[in-house]
Amino acid sequence: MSETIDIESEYVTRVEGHGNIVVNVADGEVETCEWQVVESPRFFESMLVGRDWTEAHHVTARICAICSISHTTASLKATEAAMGVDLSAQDERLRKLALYAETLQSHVLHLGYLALPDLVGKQSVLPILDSHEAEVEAVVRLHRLGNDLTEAIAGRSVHAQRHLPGGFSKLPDEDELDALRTRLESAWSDVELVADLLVELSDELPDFERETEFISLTHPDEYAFYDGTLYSSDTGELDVEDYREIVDEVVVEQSTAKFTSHARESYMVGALARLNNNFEQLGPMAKAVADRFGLEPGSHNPYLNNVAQLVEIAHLIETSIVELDTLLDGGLDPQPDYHTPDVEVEAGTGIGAVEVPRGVLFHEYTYDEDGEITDANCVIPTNQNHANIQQDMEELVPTILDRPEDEIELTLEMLVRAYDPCISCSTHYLDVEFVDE
Amino acid sequence: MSTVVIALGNPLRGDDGIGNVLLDRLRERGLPADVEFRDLGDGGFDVLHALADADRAVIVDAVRFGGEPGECAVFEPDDVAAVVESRGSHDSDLFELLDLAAAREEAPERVVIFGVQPGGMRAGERLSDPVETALPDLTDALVEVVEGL
Repeated sequence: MSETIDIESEYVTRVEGHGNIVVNVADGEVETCEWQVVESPRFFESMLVGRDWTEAHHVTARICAICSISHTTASLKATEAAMGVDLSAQDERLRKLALYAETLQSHVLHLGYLALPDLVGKQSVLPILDSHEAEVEAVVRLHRLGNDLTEAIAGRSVHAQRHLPGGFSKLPDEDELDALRTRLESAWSDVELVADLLVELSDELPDFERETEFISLTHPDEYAFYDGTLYSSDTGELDVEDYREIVDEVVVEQSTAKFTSHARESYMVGALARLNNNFEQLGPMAKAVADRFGLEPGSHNPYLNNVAQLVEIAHLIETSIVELDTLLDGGLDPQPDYHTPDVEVEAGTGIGAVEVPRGVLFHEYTYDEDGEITDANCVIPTNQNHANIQQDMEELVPTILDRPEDEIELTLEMLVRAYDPCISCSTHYLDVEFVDE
Repeated sequence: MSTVVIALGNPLRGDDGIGNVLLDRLRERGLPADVEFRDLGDGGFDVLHALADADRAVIVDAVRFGGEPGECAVFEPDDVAAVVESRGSHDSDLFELLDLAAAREEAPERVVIFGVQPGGMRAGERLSDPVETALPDLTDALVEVVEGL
């Protein structure tokens, strides 16, 4: 019933997690229906203990190469909260832009590289290049745009070099930002190309709804990514300080990753959760994209997380242009290179909560008076979605048992992929096992 | 004609960070100005963009090829299909990205992988002893590969 992994047989090394879907049907009755996560423990929280306040964000960036800026941002916010460090308005805008840019590239990667092959009935993006070359090139261009904007601010696209507690070691080049603004403006045609294709293929997204709770950050002034308070579609506003009780992590037998629940047996985080909770704050272009798919707040079809990501791609481009205009209007306040922000090291505990591509991310650190971490806790979005995937499967599987086995398999794989877990989970490591006794 | 040297791997997982370490050493070797160095961590789609800008590419990573720890193997993507029956479970999907890069117009003329057999990849920043010991020889070998492209 479980996958056997033999990484010794592999040629190039890389270490990531994987997941199994196990469905056991006997005499037409579902006996087992499990989303199993069998990731190796990675001990990042333990690695943080004893680390200096200047190092934590560099260590945690390594949790994920797709959303390393996300971890960097949550980590810095936790450190800054613990030590009472304020960020300038300019630095906050730059932080937001780097986060938006990373989210843009992550969403494009998921939609174009992982989800699209399912919708066109292919195993990977490679064969799509023959039939949809313009769309694949648009995906590559959009992804690169996100990466280049991240690199302009963070110094490189993965594992930021310039982000520091209290600010940045180096400011981006204004001409480079201006050129990126022009590229963002001209990215609409690429968004349209991808949207046209997704509209054409939208009938391939399974028509499955299961009412669930959506949790995300919310902010009075903007569609929340960088900051905000927690919001549940079931219970309303929640205090970030209470995040441990809210996520209520539990160990389950089928998974080495903890499952979470709040007001119901499970909840969902990510693009669809944000869209449902904060729809009115999306930009006009993003709302226009949502309208093309009839996507409105209160959507309970998890497969539409793919569409919500496309809507957010439009929003991220719109909002990045606005942020760049504000930054470039009048020029950046100068600072010398190799700048080190003033931080008064003090003991304390701080939480950093950030909306990242796959949902709300929490980092919490406790520092001693020397600025060394004594305790660390990280709650990752993908973990918060595991229980919801499980609940979806339990409701979905009995309704599709009459379909051919390979169709059931694809429908369940697409469900997992819709949540956009890590690449290894959603591509080759995802095995479906049937035991039809 | 430009060359990009791409390091892949996680420096917090022992020898998986060998690409990163070799990249730092390579930077000190006075290679021509058209050689670019990119530390891409776990790589992913970034590899595609890095390849699109270059005429030649060397990818440096920890690779299990059955050698002794610290030993290196230099090969091209097509060699891998000939050696390994299934390359599908490799989660970073480097080879699919290389196939995709090759299918696009912006493909480099030549892509070479410089693999180092790891001795251990447990959590931590230290390289294993055999890989640490081999660093000078590995750096020399990598310089030769980059200059010989």
